Amino acid sequence: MEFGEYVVGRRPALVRFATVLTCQAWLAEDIVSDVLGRAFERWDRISAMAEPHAYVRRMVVNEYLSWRRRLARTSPRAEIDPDAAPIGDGADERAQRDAMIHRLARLPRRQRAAVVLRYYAGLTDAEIAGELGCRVTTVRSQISRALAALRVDLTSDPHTYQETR
Amino acid sequence: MTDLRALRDAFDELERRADAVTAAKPFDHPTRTHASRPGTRLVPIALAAAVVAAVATGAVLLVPDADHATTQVAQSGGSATSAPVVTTTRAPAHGSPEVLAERLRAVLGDLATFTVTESGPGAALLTVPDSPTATPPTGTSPPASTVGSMIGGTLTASGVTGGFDLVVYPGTAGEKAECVPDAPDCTARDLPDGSSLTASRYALEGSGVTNDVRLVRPDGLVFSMHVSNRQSPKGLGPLLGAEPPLTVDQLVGIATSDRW
Repeated sequence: MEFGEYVVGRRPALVRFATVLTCQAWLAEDIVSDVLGRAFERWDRISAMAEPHAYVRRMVVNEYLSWRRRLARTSPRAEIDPDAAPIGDGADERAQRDAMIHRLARLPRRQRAAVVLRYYAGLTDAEIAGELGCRVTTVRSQISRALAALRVDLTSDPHTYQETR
Repeated sequence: MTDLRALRDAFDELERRADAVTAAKPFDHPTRTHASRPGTRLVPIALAAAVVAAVATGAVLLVPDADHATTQVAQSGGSATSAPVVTTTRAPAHGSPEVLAERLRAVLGDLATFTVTESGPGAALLTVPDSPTATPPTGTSPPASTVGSMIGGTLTASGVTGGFDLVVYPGTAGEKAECVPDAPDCTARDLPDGSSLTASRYALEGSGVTNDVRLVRPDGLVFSMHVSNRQSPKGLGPLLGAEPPLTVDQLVGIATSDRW
């Protein structure tokens, strides 16, 4: 796959993933731009991999985890202020969603990454451990703590399973 | 307590926000590069249907110094009795990694020494199609489109060694250095000359600490420097000491030095 084809086909998904990960679209865009720039430089190698997208997504996670992004932009910032009180529009559903986004934004980075990789990207504990470079038990404890902070009770969702691998 | 549906609703909303940003603002940022490699291709122009990157170029914001090269500018069409106009010019610090290293060495003076282990352009302009191209990619390597310079390596001050990197590139006029909203130890301020400056200290994984400074001049020139107690200021590599070799205040002094 040529790099341009990859960007056209997968960049929107990468920005979505990065936005869920960072809770800030502008930051997600910066991270994805940087990552794609680096991926382009070694695209010959990446494109030869079995799953180039998984590799690039891991680059996004690493970029987010390893570095506090500090790129100056004139675009509006702080779409989600972690310290701001949730503001609903009057509808309970929307208020609940906004509150959840704010709780998500307040999670420590690695906890946030673990919960996003699990419940957004659908990775297993072992795959998340590979992405984050930690042990499976660490992933489980991070997800457990994250869910507690998010006030998510898995027992209230009969369709959810708790991974034990 | 709630269930996973609320979390998935939150993901859906964040996706919508991402789509809104992506649609409203296509790939138009200069992207920092991190190392130079011979033959590296930086800009996929061959695949581009539209050039959306726009970065001010040719900015020379670092103040000229009197002790540098003098260039005589020839007059054209002037009076025969006019004296030649002599101006002092100086290559911008971001003109090349070598110049950048030279200037940093001058700015640091006796404060610190450093070894450059990687260098390259400061930013690359990425150009991608805003929609799938009708014709298949040709595979032709596009010409590189880079601006500014970057150096990185190890820096030693007062016997303490750590990783550092320094990037200077002409960005977009009017932009400002700003603290990331969730950065706990970041301060931002405007300088009298119109520049904006942020200084911060970040805790990295496993006892890593990085101090950084970012200065954005009024015409967009970006100066960004990081020092860390890890080999890489981005938090990678072995821990080289308990603290970065330079404090945040020292970095601010370097960024605002008039010796650049």
